[in-house]
Amino acid sequence: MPAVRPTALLAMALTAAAPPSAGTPVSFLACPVAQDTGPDSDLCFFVEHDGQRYSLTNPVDYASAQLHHQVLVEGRVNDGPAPCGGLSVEGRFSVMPEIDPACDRIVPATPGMAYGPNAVSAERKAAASAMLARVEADPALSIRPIYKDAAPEPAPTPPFLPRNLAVYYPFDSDRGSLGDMIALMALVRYAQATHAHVTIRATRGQSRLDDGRLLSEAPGLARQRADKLRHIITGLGLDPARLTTDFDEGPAMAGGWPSRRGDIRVEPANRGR
Amino acid sequence: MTSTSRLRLWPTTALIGAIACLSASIALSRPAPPDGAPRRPGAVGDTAGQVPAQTRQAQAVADTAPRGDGYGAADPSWWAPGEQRTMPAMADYADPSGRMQVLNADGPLASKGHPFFTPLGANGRACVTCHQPENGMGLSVATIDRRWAETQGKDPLFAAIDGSNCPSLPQGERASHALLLDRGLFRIFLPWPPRAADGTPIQPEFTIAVVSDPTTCNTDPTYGLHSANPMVSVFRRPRPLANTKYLTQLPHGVPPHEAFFYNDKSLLPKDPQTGQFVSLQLMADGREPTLRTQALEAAMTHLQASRKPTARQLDRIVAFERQIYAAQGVDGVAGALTGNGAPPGLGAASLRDGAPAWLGNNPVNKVFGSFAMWAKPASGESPAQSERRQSIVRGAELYYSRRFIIQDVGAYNDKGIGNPFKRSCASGCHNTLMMGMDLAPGFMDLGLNNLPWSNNRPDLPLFEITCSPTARPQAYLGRHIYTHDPGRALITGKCFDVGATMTQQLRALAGRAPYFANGSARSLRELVDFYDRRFNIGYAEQEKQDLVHFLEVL
Ligand code: HEC
Repeated sequence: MPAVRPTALLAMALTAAAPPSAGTPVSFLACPVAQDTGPDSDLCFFVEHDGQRYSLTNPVDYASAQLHHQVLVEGRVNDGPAPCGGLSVEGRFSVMPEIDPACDRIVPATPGMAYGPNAVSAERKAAASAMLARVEADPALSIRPIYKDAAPEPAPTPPFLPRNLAVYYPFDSDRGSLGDMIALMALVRYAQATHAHVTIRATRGQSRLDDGRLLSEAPGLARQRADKLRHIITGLGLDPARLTTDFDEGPAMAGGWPSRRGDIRVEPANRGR
Repeated sequence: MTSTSRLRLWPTTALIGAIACLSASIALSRPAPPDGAPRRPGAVGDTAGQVPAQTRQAQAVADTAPRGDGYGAADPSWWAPGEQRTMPAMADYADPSGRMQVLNADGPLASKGHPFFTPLGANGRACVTCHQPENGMGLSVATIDRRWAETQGKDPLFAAIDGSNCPSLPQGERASHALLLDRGLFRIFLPWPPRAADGTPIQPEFTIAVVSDPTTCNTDPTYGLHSANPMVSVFRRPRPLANTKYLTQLPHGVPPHEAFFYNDKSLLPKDPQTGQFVSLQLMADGREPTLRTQALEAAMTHLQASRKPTARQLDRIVAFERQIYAAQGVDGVAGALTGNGAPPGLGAASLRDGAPAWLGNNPVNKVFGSFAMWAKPASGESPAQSERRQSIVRGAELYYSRRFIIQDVGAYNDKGIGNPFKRSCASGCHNTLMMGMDLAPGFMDLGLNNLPWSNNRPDLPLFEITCSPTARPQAYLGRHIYTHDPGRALITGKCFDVGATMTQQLRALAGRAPYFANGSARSLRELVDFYDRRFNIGYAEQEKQDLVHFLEVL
């Protein structure tokens, strides 16, 4: 675990400094603030850093901000709308595993204020009431699942080309995201169908913060990530004899969020006919 | 709390070696796994990793209290072990808010010689002892107290092994059975350190110390944490044994969770027989992968069987469990809950016919379906009936739609949803269509096991958990935790799991108080009050009553 102490960012007064322009890289730790958005909608999260408010909306699942934990924000400032009242950042957020009791702020909703895409839209409300009308006409529909299981994927057709997947991790964690794990399942099915050889290579990352501090992930994490990927891929049915596992405890020199990763490469036995 | 009253047990290598040696000598031991295989909970063959150690404790307890036969005769609604009766295709039983239905989808079932109804071990109990039809295949504290009175405490239900606070206490005295009689709790004894699927020890991330234990069992020289067969004793309610297709089916429509465990995106455990993934919805701590491995643990522990049930016995138990459904059928005030014009999700038959393991948190599929037909008075209803039906409709709406801020729930808010998370009962945790448990599956520390929520239970053991400095901490309590039940962490050895127990189905509730895994809520009202307090929801008095009326008809 990195020896980073809670910073008192929340106590800093917001200055009137000009916002960073689109494309500006950012890398900092801060306390998330939960913003209530009204009785019928969810919360959104933002952070305040160097007098600027950044929104933490639309995170990868594991990056959903948590009070009582700092969040590591890494990426580039985006143009465009300001959900949750802050600049949006293209990149990754990481919930830091250690507890920080100072991260404890919930801001009540301001009536009439729009908080961006997180609030329930009028269209969604209208779609919901249309569906409800159907149920009113036939209440039995209410216990019949409206969704269907996805149809099984068709078998891959030649040419069987190599495929790659990069799984990105939150800081100091071996947890892959929901989306990456869906992609991994598809990749393993492809590898099985094409009698491929699979290689895993996992790394331990490092991030340089804007204030100059260097955060390195715990030693051993590259191996832990590689082992977990190996267990998942063989558990999903790939013959262990077709799998090579490698890891690099590096750590990757201040590569930021892309340095916390597992690369999986699938090389089919042949290109098929 | 003095340091001398604490028992520390670091799982040293030497100790693990000693435990491995001991367990190698008993009947249920298995060969060591190939080197380098991951140490994970689960089962090999029929037997989950913790069962050999549990069996040794169960076989060491002689049940000396006098027990007799034929207790069923005096009490027609009680199913006594070994009794020869026929369970009808559809039966209903009185419960405090009306009548509960128990449905056998495969038709009438004769109990004669059936392993679910037959004592398979020394103490005279059968599975049915603790999974009674009249309580929706669970067991209410009212039924337990009635049996105590009817048999002067001699029913096998009160067997020393887990029907008393500790087997070493004087059996037959009320005080020795206080947790069962007051809260409906059985002693669950789990080996420490935890065992992997193959029975070998898992190196835990934390130590356990006993801060206090009114049951005496964790400090007991024979049965306790520092005995020759180290065990942690926690106290839990039976989970109802009905509607099981909804528990064992892998979740639909939420990829990749038909293969992945939500919380950490590791793979789900597998059925050791078929190699298929399992849903991880059984038992408060998920320690048993399948109904079949669960039946074996139950036979070896609760029934104190001297040898493993046969494959055929296990098959018959599982087949029985797969076809039994339970739900409330009649509400004493609202009237019949099934039939023409009734809400479609109520009654046992709707569970038999329903589709298992779908999410019920979208506008069409709300967990228990629509109640709209009761929103307005209908002809032929009495005023009291209309009023109650409208209260149920309001209760359903609160359950489905009233959002509140869910904060600092360990193993829940940290699993990728955010802390806090703003949801309703239905969209937050109790989301499985027809059943209401979390489809995820929902391990969490709601604040019933771990301090410091307003849940102090002086009647339960209190443990102090100290996690290693390199372990990932429990998300909101850190590495130093006081708990009444470490829950899932007793199975995984993980610090972040401390205090996490799993949501359970919300069907046939009225007949099986008290609620929560540790019986904290004596009534549905106490349950609603708990949530109101824990999450500062601010329900009005009328809203609380509406929610209770709604839960009573499930
Ligand atoms: C002495 C009482 C007792 C007896 C006898 C008993 N059980 Fe249970 N049962 C329990 C308790 C307590 C639990 C919950 C344990 C936990 O959560 O750790 C439980 C849980 C279960 C569950 C899990 C249900 C769920 O929703 O998670 C199944 C299945 C089950 N029992 C089957 C059986 C079978 C089969 C037998 C007979 C071989 C049996 N039980 C005998 C007390 C008993």
